[in-house]
Amino acid sequence: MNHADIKAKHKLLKEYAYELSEIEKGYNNRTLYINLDDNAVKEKPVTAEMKEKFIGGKGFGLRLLWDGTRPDTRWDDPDNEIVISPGPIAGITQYSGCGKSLVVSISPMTDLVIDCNVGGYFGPFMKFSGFDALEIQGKADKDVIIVIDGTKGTVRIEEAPEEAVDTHILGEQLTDMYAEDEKDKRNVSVVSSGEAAEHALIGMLNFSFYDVKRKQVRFKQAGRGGIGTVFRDKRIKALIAKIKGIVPDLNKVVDMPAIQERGKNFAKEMRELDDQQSRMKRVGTAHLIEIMDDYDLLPVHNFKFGSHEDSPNIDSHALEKRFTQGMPDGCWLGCMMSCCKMAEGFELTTGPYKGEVVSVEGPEYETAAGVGSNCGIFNVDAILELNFYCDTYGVDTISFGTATAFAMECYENGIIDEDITGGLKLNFSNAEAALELLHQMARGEGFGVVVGSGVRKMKKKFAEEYGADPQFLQDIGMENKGLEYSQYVSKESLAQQGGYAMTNKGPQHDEAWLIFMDMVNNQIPTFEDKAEALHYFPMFRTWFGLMGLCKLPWNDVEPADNAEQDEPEKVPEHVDNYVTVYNAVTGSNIDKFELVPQSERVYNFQRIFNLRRGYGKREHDAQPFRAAGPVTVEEYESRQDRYDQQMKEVIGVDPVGKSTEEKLAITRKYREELYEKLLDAVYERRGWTKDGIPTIEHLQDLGMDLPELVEVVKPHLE
Amino acid sequence: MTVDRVLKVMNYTFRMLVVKVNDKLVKREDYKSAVVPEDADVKVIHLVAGG
Repeated sequence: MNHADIKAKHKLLKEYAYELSEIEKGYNNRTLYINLDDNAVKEKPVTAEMKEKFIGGKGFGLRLLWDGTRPDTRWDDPDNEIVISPGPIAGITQYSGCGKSLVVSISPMTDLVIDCNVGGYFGPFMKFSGFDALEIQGKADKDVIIVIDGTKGTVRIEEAPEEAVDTHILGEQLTDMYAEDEKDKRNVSVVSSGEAAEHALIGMLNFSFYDVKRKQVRFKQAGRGGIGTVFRDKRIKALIAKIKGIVPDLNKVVDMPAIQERGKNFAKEMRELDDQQSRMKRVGTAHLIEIMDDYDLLPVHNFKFGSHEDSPNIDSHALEKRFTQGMPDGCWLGCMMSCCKMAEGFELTTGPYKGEVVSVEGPEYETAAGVGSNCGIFNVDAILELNFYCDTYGVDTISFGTATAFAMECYENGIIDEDITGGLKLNFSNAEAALELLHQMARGEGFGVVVGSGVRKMKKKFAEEYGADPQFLQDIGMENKGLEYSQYVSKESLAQQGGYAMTNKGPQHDEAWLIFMDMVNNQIPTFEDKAEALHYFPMFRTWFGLMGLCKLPWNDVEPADNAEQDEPEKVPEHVDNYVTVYNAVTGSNIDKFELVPQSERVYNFQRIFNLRRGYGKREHDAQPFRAAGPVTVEEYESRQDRYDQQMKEVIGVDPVGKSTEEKLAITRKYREELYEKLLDAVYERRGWTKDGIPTIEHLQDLGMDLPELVEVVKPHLE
Repeated sequence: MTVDRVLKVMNYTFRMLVVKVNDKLVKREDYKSAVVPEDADVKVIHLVAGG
């Protein structure tokens, strides 16, 4: 069927006309609400309180989600919402990394709020079409698309029966269908998921952007927490945003020259320094693979180890050979970091698209480590194929990698066997088996569906149905709050253990990445130092999600004189850039000391959101022991010198004459006690009780003693 | 031993480092020529990129 025929099968369910208007200092001052139960569409005003206390992006998303759901709303209730919100800075093109959106929903994996920071053009295009957030509630009876047309001022809900579900086809179909011509394709963006998101809880969303030079639709991902699964559960096939085109200053900023000056300075850094630093333009985040391997931080075999002799097969030098160079690879216009690398001309060898020659978006570090080293797969072709199918099927590569690695370790330990896996030999390194798990997820059959339910559900199933030792599964099952760990070995960094397990949403490293500061630099030796870092960095790093910003330009390139500054780890010149850009867009007059409180308000709101849902306490910040130390004899003996030395010099116990099992127990007891002390120190620094509850005094200090928040925390403080 | 040699021995392959010898900053372009005196206090701070 050609695209015209496919479009002819659409059935219009609702058309809503709205008044087009200009953005004012980064805000439209209205959001769009859609309910798919009855196809209601309405506009909601952005209040002064929303802007003051919630700013935008994740802040708006959380506010709207709180108001739209009940404490017991489940992820697949019609009342659950998907909210997409860019933020006041999103959409400017004069500074790098300014096209991001935050997506929030109640997660199928954690039953908490999940939030994802995503690139691509949809967020800015939705903003330029007239809205600071898109809030979708309810469920459609049949697959629908929602079209936000910023050229006409209309929102349409259409049944769309004939389009594909898998992203690499659907994205092209809808971009072609809704663009006026080839040149107009750059003005259309599509949000989609894929077939696996219909059968797995680890579904994700793809946000498209049109690559003008390659003449291809490309995608960035809102990966974590299963929002793609919610999307397909609502029978949403796609969202489309369409604009007339990008012209300078659609955000109607207050001081464009200030933004341009900072943007030019940053562009100069990228031109002159990137090649010597992180090589983001050449290899993107994949530059981390060999570094993490060198520092024993690259997850190997379900986080058992931190390095492997075969990692050069998949490091950035190996991947660089597959990435097309010299292309404008930014996921939003004007980004000089331009780090979305692409492997073109790749022929698929498995699955429904076997034989097709495709372009693979990535891999990013997380994907190469997750589906690669963590599963024992040190083959670039296998990683590219896994990456491609995760993307088109709508599967989070991080959760897929960690969940598959868990299943592989269970298989190698005899907890599951070929009878249970349906014949799949799930040994580490079996890429064919990993791919088949993905294809099964897409088909909704077989053991792939079990893996797609995530580590937490697998632990429960394997213990209850196959008689596995629940403590062993708990120790090796790398999930916290129900979300799989992202791809860093935190065993030797107490601060990073907190950075992972103390997060609001689950162990995603967007909140904190403290491994070098802690483990390598020893810059934060005391509990108070660690607590200060676990206050500042999560609050600072999540600030980007209120604004519509990408974190990478903050510290994946650094000014030439950064080393000479006070607190070079904060990259002070770039912090100053962000303060300047924020003030220049919005007309505010904050200084750098206001960034953390802005973020802290929303951070505490999210903590209390979880509390409202029955979570958000100390017990929920517990970690699997593998995140903190060696679980097995194999792990201990692989790093015996390190652990024995620590035992002698730090714990004060002589390891000589002790069995490995005895030493494991001593190490474990020591490290578990350390983590409890860390929790105490961090909670105190954050203004929370020993049970991790924000105090009313702290909320008052932040100006967040809103009645609905006080009502939730008060019973826990009595 | 030069700074460059120290970094190789320690396998400090991360590219964004702050190196101080006796609290004096050593610039990247000087790593191969800067000699580390005996008993010097050497700090190699890895800047927190990544993640």
